[in-house]
Amino acid sequence: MPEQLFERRNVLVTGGAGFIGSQLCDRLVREANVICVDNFITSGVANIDHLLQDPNFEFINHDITKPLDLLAFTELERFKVRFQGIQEIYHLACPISKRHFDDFKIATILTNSIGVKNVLDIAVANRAKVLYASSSVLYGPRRDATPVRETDECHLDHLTTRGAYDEGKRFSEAILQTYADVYGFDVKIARIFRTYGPRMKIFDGNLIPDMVLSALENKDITLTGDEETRISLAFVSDIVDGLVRLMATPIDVTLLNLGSDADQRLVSVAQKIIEITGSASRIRFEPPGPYATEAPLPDIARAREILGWIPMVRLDDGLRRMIEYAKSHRHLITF
Amino acid sequence: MPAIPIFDKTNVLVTGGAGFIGSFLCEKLLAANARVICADNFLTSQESNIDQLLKNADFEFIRQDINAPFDLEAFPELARFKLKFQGIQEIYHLACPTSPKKFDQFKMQSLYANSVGMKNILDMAVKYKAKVLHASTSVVYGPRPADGHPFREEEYGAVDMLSPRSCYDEGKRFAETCCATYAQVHGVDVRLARIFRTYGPRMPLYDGHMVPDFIMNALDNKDLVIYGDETFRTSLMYVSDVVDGMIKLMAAPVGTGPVNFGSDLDVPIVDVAQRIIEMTGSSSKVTFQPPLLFMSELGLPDLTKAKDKLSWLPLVGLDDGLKKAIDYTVAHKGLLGFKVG
Repeated sequence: MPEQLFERRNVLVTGGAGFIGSQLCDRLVREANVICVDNFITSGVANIDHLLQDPNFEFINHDITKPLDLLAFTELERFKVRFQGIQEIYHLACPISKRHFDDFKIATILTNSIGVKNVLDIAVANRAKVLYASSSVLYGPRRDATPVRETDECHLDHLTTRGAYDEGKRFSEAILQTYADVYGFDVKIARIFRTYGPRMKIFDGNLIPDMVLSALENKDITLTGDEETRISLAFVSDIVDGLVRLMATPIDVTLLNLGSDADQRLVSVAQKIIEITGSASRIRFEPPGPYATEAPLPDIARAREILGWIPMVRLDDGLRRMIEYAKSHRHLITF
Repeated sequence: MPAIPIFDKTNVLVTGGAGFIGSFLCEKLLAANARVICADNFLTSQESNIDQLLKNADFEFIRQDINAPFDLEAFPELARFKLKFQGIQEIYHLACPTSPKKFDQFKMQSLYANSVGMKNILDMAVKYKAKVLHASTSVVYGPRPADGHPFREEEYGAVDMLSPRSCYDEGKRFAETCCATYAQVHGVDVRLARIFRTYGPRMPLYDGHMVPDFIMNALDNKDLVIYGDETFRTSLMYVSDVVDGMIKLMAAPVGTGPVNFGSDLDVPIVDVAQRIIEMTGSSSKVTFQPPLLFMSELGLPDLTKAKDKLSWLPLVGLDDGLKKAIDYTVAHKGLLGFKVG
C-alpha cells in the first residue's frame, strides 16, 4: 500500500537479535519498518525467528565494524530506503558475554570505535536520530549505596582486562558527543543498568539465569558476596519501554540512566527463585574475585521527570517470566 | 633491541615524526644509530621540522595518514630498509592532531587517530612483533585536581567523556585501552608515555601554545597574550627531556606500565612571559584574553616512577630551555610564521 509508505518510519536496530535488541524489535515492529542488523557474535537467530515472517521486519546479517550500505540490500527495497531514508537508529550492537569475554576483546574494541562511527555515518547521511545503548559500567564499580547520577564523574581503571568494554563504552559516548557537536544532530544515550528477562543467554555465566538453572536442577546456588550483597535488577520490557520513550524526546534531551533503583539483596532474589521453582537448592556464598565488581545503583530522577518512566515490572513477576523462559529453553542448544 | 642483534641497525617507525616532539625524537634516534621511518600527514605538523633530516641515508619520510591502513613494504622509497627481512623493531606512535586554536576543526580527526589510527599501528606491531611506545598525555588523568596533588600512574583519572574536548581527552584514554587490550590479546609489548606540557623550538606558532608566541612577540616588541588570567599556572618540560624519557622507556623491561614525563614545577604562565621579555630585552607587555578550550592548566606529574624505573628526571631548567627556544626563534625567525592561522 504505497500511500501508507511514510506513515511507517524506517528504524534501524543494530544488535537487534540480542537479548534487549530483539524485544525492542518486537515493540517497534508494531508501528515502524524495522531493519534489524546483527552478526550473531553473541546473539541468536532464535530471538528473532518469530519476526522473520513479519512484512515490517527485515534482518541483515552484518558486522557493524564494517561500513554498512543499506542501499546495497535488495531485501530492503520494500522499505524504500532510498527515498524515505532512515528516521531512527537504535544502536545496541556490542559483543557481550560473561563467559567468553576474552574471545571478543578485539571485536569489542572495534565495535566501540569503528562500529559506532559506521552507525553515526549512516545517521549523518540520513539525518536520523540515534539512540546509543550505553552501560552502567562506565560509572566504575559500586562504592556505596548512593545512586549515581548522569552528571557524576566516572572513575574506572581503563587498563584492566575489562577495559575493552568499560572504557570502550565511554569512548563510544565521546564519539556520539563529538558527532553531535560537529554535525549538530540528535543523539540519545541510555545508560542501561543490570537487566534481566527472557532471551537472556542462559549458559553464559549471567547471574539471574545461572541462579534459575541451579534452582531448576536442585543444585546449590552460589552467590558471590555475602548476605548483604545488593544488586539492581530491571526487567527487560521496562528497559525497552524506556528506550522508545527516550527516542521520542526533543533534541535537548541526551543522556539518561535506565535501570531499577530498588536495591535488592542478592540472597532475597535467590530465595524468591527457589520459592517460585519449588526447588530444593541451598544457597552458598563465595568471596568475590578480583574483577567481580557490582555496578552502582542508578539515580533515575531524570528518566522519571523527562520520560515519565519508572520500572513497572515487579521482581516476582519478572522472575516468573525469566523462569518460564529458562524452563522452556534450557534443553535447547540454540546458540 | 632484539635479544640477538641480527641487523646492523634497528628499524624504527615514528608516527607524527614531523611534529614538534616527533621531529626531535627522529633526530635523537638517528644519532643513536637507528634507521628511522617518519610517517606524518602534516595535519598539525610541518615539513620544515624534518628538512634537515631528509638527506640522511638512515632517514626516510612517508606522507601517510595513519587512519588509512598502510603497508610499509609497498613504499618503494623504503626498499633500502629491507622491511621484508629486517622488519620493524620499534614503533614510536606520536601521531595525533593537537591544535589549541583549531581544535574544533580537527575533532573528527582526533577521534579517528585515537581509534582507527591506533588500531592500524597496533596491527602493524602484531605483524612485525615490534615494541610500541604510545605517546599518551596527562589529560587522561582529567583536569588539574582541586587539591593540587600530582598525578600518579596508577590513578584511575576522571575525564568527562561528554565534554567538547572529549574526542581528545577520552580518545587518549581509549587509545591506552586499545594498547592494553592488544597487549592482553596479542602479547604486543606496549609502553605508555604520559606526557605533560612540553615546550621548545618547533612548536607551532600562533596556534595558542603561548610559549612560542611569547618568544616571537617579545622579539617583535608586540604584546604577549595569555589565554587566561594571572592565576594560570602550568608545568613546562623542555622537549629534549621528554625525548630522552621516551627512549629510556622504550629500552625499559617489559611490563613497566604507564610512566609520567613532565616537569613537577608549577609556574605561573605570567612569570614565564615576564622572563621571556627580560631575556629578549623586549619592550613588550603582557595582556590577557579569554581561555581556550584546549589550553587548560593541566595537572602536575608525580615523577617517582620515572625516577625509580628509568632514572629519568627533567634536566633542562626553565631559563636554559627558554634560552634555547629563543635562540632557535632568532635563528629561524625569517623562516617561521609561514604556517599561520
